[in-house]
Amino acid sequence: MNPTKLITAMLIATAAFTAFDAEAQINCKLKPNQTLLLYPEGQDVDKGLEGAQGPCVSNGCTKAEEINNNGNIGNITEPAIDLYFPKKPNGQMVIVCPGGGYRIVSSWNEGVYVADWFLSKGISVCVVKYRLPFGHWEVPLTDVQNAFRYCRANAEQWGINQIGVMGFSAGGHLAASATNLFVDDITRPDFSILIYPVITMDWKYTHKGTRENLIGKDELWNNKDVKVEEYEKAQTKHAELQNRYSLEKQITEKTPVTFMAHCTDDKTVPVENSLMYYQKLVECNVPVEMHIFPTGGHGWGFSSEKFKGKGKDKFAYARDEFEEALYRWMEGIRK
Amino acid sequence: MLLIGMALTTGVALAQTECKLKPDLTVKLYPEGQEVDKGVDGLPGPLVSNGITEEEAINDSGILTNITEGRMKFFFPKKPNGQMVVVCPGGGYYKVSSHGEGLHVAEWMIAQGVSVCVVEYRLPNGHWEIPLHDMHNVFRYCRKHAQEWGIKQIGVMGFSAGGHLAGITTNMFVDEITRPDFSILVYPVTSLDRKYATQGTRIHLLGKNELWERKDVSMAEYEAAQEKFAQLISYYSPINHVSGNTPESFIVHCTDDKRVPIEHSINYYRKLIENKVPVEMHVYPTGGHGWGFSTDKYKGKGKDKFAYARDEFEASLARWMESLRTKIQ
Repeated sequence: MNPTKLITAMLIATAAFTAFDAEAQINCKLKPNQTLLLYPEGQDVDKGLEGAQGPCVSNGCTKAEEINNNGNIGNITEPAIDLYFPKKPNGQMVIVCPGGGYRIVSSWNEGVYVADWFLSKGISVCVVKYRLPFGHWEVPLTDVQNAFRYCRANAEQWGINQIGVMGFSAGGHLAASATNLFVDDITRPDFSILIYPVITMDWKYTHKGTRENLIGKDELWNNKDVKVEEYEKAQTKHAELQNRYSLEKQITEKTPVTFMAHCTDDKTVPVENSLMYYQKLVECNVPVEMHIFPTGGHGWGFSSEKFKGKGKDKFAYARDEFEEALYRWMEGIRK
Repeated sequence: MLLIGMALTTGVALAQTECKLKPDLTVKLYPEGQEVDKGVDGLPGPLVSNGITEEEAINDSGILTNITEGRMKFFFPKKPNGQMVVVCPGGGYYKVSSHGEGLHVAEWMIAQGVSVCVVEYRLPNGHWEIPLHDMHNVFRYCRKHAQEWGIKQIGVMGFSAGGHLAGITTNMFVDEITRPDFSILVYPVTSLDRKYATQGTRIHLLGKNELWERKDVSMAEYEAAQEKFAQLISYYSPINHVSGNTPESFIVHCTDDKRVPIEHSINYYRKLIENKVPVEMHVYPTGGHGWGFSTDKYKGKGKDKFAYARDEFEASLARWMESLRTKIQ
């Protein structure tokens, strides 16, 4: 590719990303205290950080990672954790999963800005830049579980005795997966915070992109151009995956204490996702708090006016209440 | 009489501190009693009598029983902001919790500049038309006097069974006058369906199950009673009347409410969004049932189970009401 073509291609890619959120956000000066690659030797080598595990499978992505001017990262193949520590840690840590429909990772609005807020409360933060799945459903959860393994292994030296998970939108799906699909006490979050989360794979309520990027398009599974045996096997596997990644079906008494927030007018992820999840938590006697604000739409994250600029935060009218409720709840569960 | 008084007192173990606030005005809906077909100010009369013959009583927690005289207690702030809330206290339709879900609400509302009408509605005693009929008359009266009071917007608010009453008022209005401008439901009963375990409210509104299931009658009568009962259960379930014309709503409930299961709010909320009614809902983890506006100030330090979230709840409600006010004026 000649240089002009390359630049054009890059411009097109940038334009596509910019269209996702028209306004560039004000940058945040906060820098992580430490950034660690989860798989220092890449996703094709079965090795992880000390105390954690390897990449499980590769996501098969061969394109170069890119970031737009809203902090949205695409084509992630090298997952990393950004660690942020307050001056006086209060003993709690939140592992944050930004959203982006499993197509990108919204690393500012639902990452660094979140860290900025938690730090002011004495809460340590680990923002996960997880690998995008490209139809490899095990990939994002593997990364978050490895983040838990690494953080638990180092918790004591950091002054941490409680580690929870938090996620937004598709990151909320990932956080809800971590909340319910844990494999041991190390990977089980101590608490769970879900903000406008995608919960179900049910076509009636799911977010199309989130579903298709995670478990693949239906066409892939319904291909009849194969032997009957293969077709039936694919059908069974597809059903199994839809069930496993519909988190409302994975809740048990062991699901950790939960906090949820959503807006009635969310047109991207229907509020029903939160409602059905909440009801299942209640059925299973899991303590839960849920706030449903009338307006704010989708994706308001932690982009307060401080970052977005005056008058540009659709959630400004309720942000103080939301933050107060979240902090009071965090204090209520602190050990 | 003495026995009833004692039973009520033991029902609420701790007497609440007296609130000094007094209504600016008390108006009886049916000045000549519920046997005379006349309403205040030329409004419709009592429709039917609730048939209660025992004398009205109040205990020291402000729990009223045997109400036969529907009345409105008005509270006006120094500077009315143009909004009025018609408040329906709860009490399973066999009592009215006039302090925690009445007087104390008024005190908070007038501090916000909001005018208040606390309704001490007639208890239905199995006469299902009565509470809603009283509420329609309340709205007629308030709309009629709104201008002289400086009021432009009148909403309804209810708690528990009073939330049921507010819920039917919200949805079963008969004209623009009786249609509330907004609706605030606090741990409300939104359905009388038997699966929801809010028997008390249903029994006192529609009559005891035994009455509907009498077997010493003809089969035709029995079946007719069954059908009528099912119809009434459905008709008096606010959730079944939600439409695109349902006013904007605010809902609060606690996850650990054992008296009125949280499904009442969740399913009602679902109906609202299905019908594109703007709505806000807060579901707090603990607090149980019946926390009303009885803060530590009234209950005594450390006795308010909802204290941990009360400030947030009040901030949300005040912000929501303010946003409605600015929208209309």
